[in-house]
Amino acid sequence: MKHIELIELLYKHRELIDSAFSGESVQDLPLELVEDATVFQKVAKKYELSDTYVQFANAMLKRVDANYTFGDYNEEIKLLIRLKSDYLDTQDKMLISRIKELVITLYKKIQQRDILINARINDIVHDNDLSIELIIKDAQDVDNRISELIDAHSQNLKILSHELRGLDDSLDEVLVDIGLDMLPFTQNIHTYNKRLSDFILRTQKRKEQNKKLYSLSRKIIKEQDYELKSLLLSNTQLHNHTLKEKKTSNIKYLPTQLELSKISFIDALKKVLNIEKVERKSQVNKPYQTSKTVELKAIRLEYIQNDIVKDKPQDIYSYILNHKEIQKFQEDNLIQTYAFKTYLTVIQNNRENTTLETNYNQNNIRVVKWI
Amino acid sequence: MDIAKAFEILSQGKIISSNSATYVELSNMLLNNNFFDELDELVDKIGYKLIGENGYFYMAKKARLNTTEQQLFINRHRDLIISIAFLRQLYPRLDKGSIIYFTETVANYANAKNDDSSIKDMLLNFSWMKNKDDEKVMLEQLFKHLEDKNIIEKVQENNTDKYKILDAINYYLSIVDLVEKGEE
Repeated sequence: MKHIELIELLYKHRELIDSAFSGESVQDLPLELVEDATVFQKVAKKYELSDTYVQFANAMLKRVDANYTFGDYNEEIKLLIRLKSDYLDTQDKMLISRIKELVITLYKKIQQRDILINARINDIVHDNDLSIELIIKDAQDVDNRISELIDAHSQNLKILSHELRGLDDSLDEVLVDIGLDMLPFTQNIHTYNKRLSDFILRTQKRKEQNKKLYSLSRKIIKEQDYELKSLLLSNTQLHNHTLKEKKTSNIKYLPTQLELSKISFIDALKKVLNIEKVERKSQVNKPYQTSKTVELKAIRLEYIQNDIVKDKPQDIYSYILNHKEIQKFQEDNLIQTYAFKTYLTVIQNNRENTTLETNYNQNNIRVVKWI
Repeated sequence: MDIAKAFEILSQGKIISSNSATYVELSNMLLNNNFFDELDELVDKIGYKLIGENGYFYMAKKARLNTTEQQLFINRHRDLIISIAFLRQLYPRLDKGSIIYFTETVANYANAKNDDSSIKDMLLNFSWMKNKDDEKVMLEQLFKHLEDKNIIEKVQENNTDKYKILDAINYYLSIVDLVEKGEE
C-alpha cells in the first residue's frame, strides 16, 4: 500500500477511527483497516486502535500518553563517553562519525522530549475531567520527574560542551551548533518546572477552598453562619452591598436623607452629572369620539337575479361586475369582492339554469352561462 | 463612557470585573489611576467608597447599614456563596476565566446528585427559586441569578449555553477564605 492510499483509507473511515480514538468501542469494522494497514488490532476478540496508530496520532497532535516517562538519556551519554575513550585508544575516524551521529540523535530526542513535556503539562493543566486529587498527583509526578531531568540535563550539557570537545574539528563544529540549539530547551525545562509548581500550588489552594466553600454553604443552609454574618457586618465599609430595597427587587445605592442634606452632595453631583429638567405634562386622554354619518349599503340580490333572467348573460361574473347594484361599491373599492360573492350566490341558487364553461374570463374567473 | 456613566453603573450595586466583555470599557477606565481617584473622590463625598482589588471594582457604603439593608446585604452574600459552592462541586477547578456550558452543567448536576443527593438542598435553599420540582428550570434560574449578579457572563450574546466566569467570583471566594479557616 502506498502512503497516499493510506491517507485515503484513513480519510474514508475518519468517523470510525475518531470515535475509537475517543475511547468508544467499535463495531462492524471494515477489514481493510486491519489487513491493509494495521490501524486496528484484535485484542481478545475485540478490535481496538493499534498502539502504533495511537502513538502516531498522539505525536502529531502533541498529546502525551499519561504513562509515558521522559527519558534522561543516561545510556546515550555513557555510550558517548565509551566511544570517546575508544577513539582516544584507537584514533579510528569511524568512531568520530559515530559520535557525531549519536550527538545529533541525542539532540533530536531532547527536542522531542521538550515537545512532549510541554504537551503533557498542557494536558494536565487543561484536563477538566479528572478529579482534583488525581490532577494534583499527576502534576506532582511530572514535576518530580522534571526536577530529576534538570540535573540530568545539566550533566548532558557538560558532556556535550566540554568532554567531547577537542577530539576533532568537524565534531567540535557540530557540538557548538547543537550547544546553541539546546539553549531554549534548557530554559524551557526550568519554565516547565516553575509552571507545574505554580499549578500544583494553585490547584491545592483551590482544593482547600472547595472544602471551605462546602463547609460554609452547609452552615448557611443550616443557618449556622454566625461568623459570616459578623464578618460582613463588622466590615461593611469594605464590602460590596445593597442599599435601599426597591419593590422590583432592583437594588440601587441611594444616599440617605442625612447624606442628601449635605451641601457637598449636591455640589458633587452637579459637577459630574448633567441633570436635565423633566417637564411634567400629563397626557390628555380623549375617551370620546365625534360620531360620523355612516352610509349603509347593501346589495339587492333579487334585482340582479331578475336582470339576469331577463338578459341571459353569456358570462355571469362580468355581467354582475358591471351591474349598477355592484357599481355602488366603486368608491369603497370593493366591487370585485361583492361581485364575486354575488356571482357565487347566484350560481348556488340557480344550478339548473346555469352551465359551467371550461374557459376563464379576463378576471380569471370561470365563465358561467345562463340558459 | 464618562464619570457619570461609571457612577450610574457602579451605583446599581454591580461588581465590575476586568475580564467582562460587557463592561470592558468601564473596567479599562477604572484601571486608569486618575479616573479611579476622581471617581473615588466623588463617591467619597456622598458617603461611599470605591474599591478596586483582584481584578474587580465595586462601591461600598461608609456609614452603618439599617436593619433592612443588613438583611439584604447578608442574604445576597449568602446566596452567592452557595451558588459558587454549587458550581465548584460540579467543577472543582472552576476559577475566574473558566468557561462553563449550561447543558454540561445539567448533566454534571445529574451525575453529582447520584453520588450525593444533598447537592439539591443548595438549589432548594434559594428564596427566589421558583418551580422547585423541575431541576433544569432551577438551574436556569441559578444561571440567570449569577448572570444578574455579574459572576458569569454569556460569551456570545445569542448563545445561552456558553458562559465565562468573571473576576468577581474572587470577591466572594476571598470572603469564604476569611470566614473559614480550614485546615491550614
